[in-house]
Amino acid sequence: MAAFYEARGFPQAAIEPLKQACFVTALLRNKGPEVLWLELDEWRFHSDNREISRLGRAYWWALWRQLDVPQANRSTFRWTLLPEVRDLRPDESVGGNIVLPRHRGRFTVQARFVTGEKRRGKEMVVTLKDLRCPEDEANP
Amino acid sequence: MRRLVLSLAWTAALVTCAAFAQEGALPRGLIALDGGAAPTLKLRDMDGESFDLRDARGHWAFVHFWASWCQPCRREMPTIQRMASRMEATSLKVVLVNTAETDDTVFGFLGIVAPGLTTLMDRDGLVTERWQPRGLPSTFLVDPSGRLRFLALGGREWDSAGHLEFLRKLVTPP
Repeated sequence: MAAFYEARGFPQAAIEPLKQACFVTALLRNKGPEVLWLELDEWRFHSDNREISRLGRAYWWALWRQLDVPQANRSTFRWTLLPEVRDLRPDESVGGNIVLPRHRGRFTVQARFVTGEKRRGKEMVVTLKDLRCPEDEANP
Repeated sequence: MRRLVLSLAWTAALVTCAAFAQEGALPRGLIALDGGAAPTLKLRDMDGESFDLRDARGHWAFVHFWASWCQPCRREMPTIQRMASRMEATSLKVVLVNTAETDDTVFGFLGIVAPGLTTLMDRDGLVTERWQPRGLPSTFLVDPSGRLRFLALGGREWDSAGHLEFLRKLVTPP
């Protein structure tokens, strides 16, 4: 994934931390008749029964500020992330990256969703198991 | 006099929006907005020419945010070019805003994908931030009085019969 940002002119100082991270690219489409809430705080990442904390926007904004990354690069990075919160309308889709600390081994993501404009509809939980960072595929 | 013209344009826009809402005539994936004032949009295009959305007052504006790395943008852009060509005889202002890319990237992309289009360059991405699109691509339809009336959720085929009919009705006074 770092290559994507490298090709878009991100400075080398910004590429190094990106190489150390694990990018999960998600694409969601609301196929139901109600609003579906994407709320990343309701997603859990586990590996060997230990929770993995996301590297969220605040982490990256602080790092970009510290590294004095150009505003254009910060903006591009911002738009490639999956939104923290989104009320997905019927048939609306959203895509983007979730960033985790890079680690070896498989991990599980448990994504919890609520539905309805006022979040009072049905709850859904989607669990994806046996995920791996691409870097681990190259260095098993 | 200018105030009167804008007032009439606003009234016409309200009537048009209400008609769409009543008829349920919005193409799939378009939502009506609350009519808040459009944020400032003042940028230079690929040739360095300055553009201010305020100068488009009196006309509907199609304001589209995009980036070459976004896959839906790549699919959607040729349909915008065809739509713009079909709508050329109307008063619709097609305004493209590239988010935070370089001249080389934008020239290379549009030259292949949609050579008939030009774009404003939001070089640092801050204008895009101000508009708060739900993602890229995003299209806002701004009424003749400068108010946000419709938002297209994600990419679509703007040159489809349904979208062209919607846009034509929008720019045709009731």
